[in-house]
Amino acid sequence: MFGYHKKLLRVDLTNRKIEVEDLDERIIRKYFGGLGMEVKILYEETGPDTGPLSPENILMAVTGPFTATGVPTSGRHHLVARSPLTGLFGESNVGGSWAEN
Amino acid sequence: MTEGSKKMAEALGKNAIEFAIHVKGLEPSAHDPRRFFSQALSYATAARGACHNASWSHPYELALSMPEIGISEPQDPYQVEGKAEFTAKFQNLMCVMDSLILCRFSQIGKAVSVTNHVDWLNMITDWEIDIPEYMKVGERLFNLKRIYNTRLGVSRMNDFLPFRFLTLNRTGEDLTNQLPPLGRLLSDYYAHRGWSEEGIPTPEKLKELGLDSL
Repeated sequence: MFGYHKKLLRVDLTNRKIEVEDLDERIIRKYFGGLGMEVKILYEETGPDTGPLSPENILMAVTGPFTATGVPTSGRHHLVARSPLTGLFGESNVGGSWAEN
Repeated sequence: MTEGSKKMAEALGKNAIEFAIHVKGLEPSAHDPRRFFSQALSYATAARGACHNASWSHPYELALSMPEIGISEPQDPYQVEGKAEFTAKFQNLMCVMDSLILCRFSQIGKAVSVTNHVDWLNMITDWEIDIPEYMKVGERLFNLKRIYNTRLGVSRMNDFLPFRFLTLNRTGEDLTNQLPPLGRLLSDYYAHRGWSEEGIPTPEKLKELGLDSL
């Protein structure tokens, strides 16, 4: 499969541990990247009791299959977490060179 | 005040809540839901709150079209019939664009279309995805965001517009003044989405989208 490195980096700030996780092709095909990956992980790995500012909340920054290609306006990354403002689903689509670098 | 209009209005008490302009705690930007009924519906139903980027459908009520997803010409912004399907389609498209991670502005001037997205995705990945499958991913993601929120207690009562948008006309010259009929729009929308009257995705819909197991 082209367009993906099939890697996810998990950073555990509480225990100061970093881990590389392999991504399953079936999951990539079902959710694509960016928001898709993030909403799946947030839904599965947090619950209604996970407070927005609690250590258990997950803040994700994810790239997509167009990242670092010549596709117009693809110089972007996507962020997801439970939002401290609304207490509900929170997301942002962000521009810049951060994703490519 | 730094915690947003909703919390500030709650702290002020009395009838302050009637003056607070937000949905689910997020304030809208410049796109007036009384001018674009798709934005009225999308502000009310988007997971994030009153976010114009959840559908980015207002340009398709003014000038843009996307024939390959059934939008052959701009839709009348005040048209109620068909507004649910129109709005849901663009909410789904924005979800899939957030997965490829493209900018909303790529659509301006009909520069980049859904056909381009799918062609480029297939070129990069060596997949053979078609437009219906592509749009289905968007629908899957919109519904997954929804059930994340419904698990936190969100339902029809949270899919609301600020009181002033539903009761006060815009002021100024030469304005078409129509207020969005939110109840009718929401009922049409839930039916189109395959959600219950309370705004909860049905088990059948989740199964169809492959969300009965992630």
